[in-house]
Amino acid sequence: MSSALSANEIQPLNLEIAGIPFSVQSESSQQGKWMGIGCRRFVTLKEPQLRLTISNSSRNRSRRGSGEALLWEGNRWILDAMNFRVQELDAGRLYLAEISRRTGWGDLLRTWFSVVLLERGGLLLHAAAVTRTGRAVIFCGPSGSGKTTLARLAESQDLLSDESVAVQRDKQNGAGYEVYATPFYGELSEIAERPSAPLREIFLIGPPETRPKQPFRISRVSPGEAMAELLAQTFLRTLTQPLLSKTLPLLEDLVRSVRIRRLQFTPSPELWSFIDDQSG
Amino acid sequence: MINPDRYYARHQDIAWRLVEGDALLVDPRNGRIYPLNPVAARIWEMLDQQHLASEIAEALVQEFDAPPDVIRQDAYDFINSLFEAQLLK
Repeated sequence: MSSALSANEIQPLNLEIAGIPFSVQSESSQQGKWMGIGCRRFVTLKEPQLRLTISNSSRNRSRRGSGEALLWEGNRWILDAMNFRVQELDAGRLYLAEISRRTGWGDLLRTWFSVVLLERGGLLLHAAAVTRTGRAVIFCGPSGSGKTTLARLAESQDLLSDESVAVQRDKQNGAGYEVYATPFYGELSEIAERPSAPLREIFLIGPPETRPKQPFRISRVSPGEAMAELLAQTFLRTLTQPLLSKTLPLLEDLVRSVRIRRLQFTPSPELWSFIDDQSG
Repeated sequence: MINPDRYYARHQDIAWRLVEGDALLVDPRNGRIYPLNPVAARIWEMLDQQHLASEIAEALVQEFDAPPDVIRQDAYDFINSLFEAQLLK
């Protein structure tokens, strides 16, 4: 019996990420099952604002290269990547995705959500986030910079994510930013418990030093450098004009509003008291 | 090397943003990102086809306390690097 049941027979999965409720439905029951497992912390009873339908394609994708292209047809966009394609059918509401067989759903969902979040004034960052005294501290850096290492040093109830977080203006209070966990995990998907927290500050991190002079060091970062490094850690790999026209103003606002510094560290539980002392 | 008696302008494809004196440039043609310090950001702002390269250099000489020849040469070198990176037209 084929595992690819018709879309009418498979129930959509209703999720909420960063305050955005949406439904995602795959024509593959197997894919739907894995999405349900991977996103179970984000299941919601709320009525979806957006609907994403995923169909599997037996054709090889024609697009070359590792990035994605965001194309506009009128006021609707098409996201064209190597292994999937997402088309906005009804602006801001309905989306149809076509994904190559044998391609995981994670990259598709994360890239689609990056654009959806951007349209709603938020950013998806390649970052770990931990709460300290109820407020989120973001550690943003490329793969290998120590995000998961930092996350492992945190208590599970303080951990939002070891891999990716959504950052958005606090809609209720208007001032400040809120940081949200996402289902786009690294290695610690079973451990992170915290759903969201107000943003306290951001640290930019890089590859750990092999022979550090001090176990921990915090240094100043210029606004331009901060914007550059945060931009490099959004999940949209191809920075086209339409994306930049939305991303750069958000980054500018973030840099103006939030303290951003550089952190060099060696893995130690004493890191948290050091960070708390420096943040007074 | 750039010509001090010529106008240079920012390439229309380059996305950029000023933030607290710095600037961030992004070239969507290749994804390259360029953070600029306040002096470089000031030069970038003046590359509007309204200022000769020499006028940009002289503006910096007036604004900064350093040997004028050093300032001028640094300005020309920077404009040249922007030109070679294809950030200017």
